[in-house]
Amino acid sequence: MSIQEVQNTTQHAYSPRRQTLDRVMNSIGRFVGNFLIDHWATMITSVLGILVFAALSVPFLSYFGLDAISKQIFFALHMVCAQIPSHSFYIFGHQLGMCARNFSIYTSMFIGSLIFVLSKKRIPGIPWWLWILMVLPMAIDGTTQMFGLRESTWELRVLTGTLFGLGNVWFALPLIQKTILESLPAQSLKENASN
Amino acid sequence: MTNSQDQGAFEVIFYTKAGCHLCEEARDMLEDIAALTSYDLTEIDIRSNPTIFEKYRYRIPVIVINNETLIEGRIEFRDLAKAFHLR
Repeated sequence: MSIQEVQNTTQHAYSPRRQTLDRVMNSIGRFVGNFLIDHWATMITSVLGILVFAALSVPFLSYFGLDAISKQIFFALHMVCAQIPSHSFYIFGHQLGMCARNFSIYTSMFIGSLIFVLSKKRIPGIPWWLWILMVLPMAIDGTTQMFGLRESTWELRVLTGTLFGLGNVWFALPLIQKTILESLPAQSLKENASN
Repeated sequence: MTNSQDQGAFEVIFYTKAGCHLCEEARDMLEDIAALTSYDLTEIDIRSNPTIFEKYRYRIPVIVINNETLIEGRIEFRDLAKAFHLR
């Protein structure tokens, strides 16, 4: 039995309804796949933007008397931050939804990924050793404080958090994009480049 | 939150402020503690006194028990229960 005959037999083995379902599932899969390949960075940026916006909205909502909403957002943000009052920024006398360090991390990651998206994902990544150098200050600042060896300041929390956040996106996002481009077939690359 | 049956067992000062979400959470915990033991509660709005405000504005909620144990910030129930000798 030749290959052509095998293919014909396989096609005939399925009912027309099944073949239609296969075609629909294939096109949905292709659509979702292409969407993720094209917009993965935008999706990451959106999530980061929502986190930053949510953290910022807490004191403003409290200030305008919308405590019911503010409280829910504040406690939801506890999933990503310890929210220690003495380590946090205050607007109108109300605590932000995240501590200074986490707010700096997420804001810098949001700004970094936004720049990456606006550059059409063309910003080259940083080498691993530079990434380590950017992450290290926060690791030192955070761990020495955690073990009670010293108490950090808000300036150090912001500086080291910003370096950490920028280092992460600057290292990871271009690397993800490079990996995607390397794994795509030539035809998809042309389509991806035109988008 | 005074329980008349056993007044004076614990003297609790609760520093708080309106619109402080962590304070609301701490107050709920104090209510849970009230079901387990009794205490005399004095609640102080930090905005009522400039000195207290300066001292606690970036620390509230602050709970002082018997003028010796101080718990502040994001308070865990187990820490609070321990301070009340419940665990």
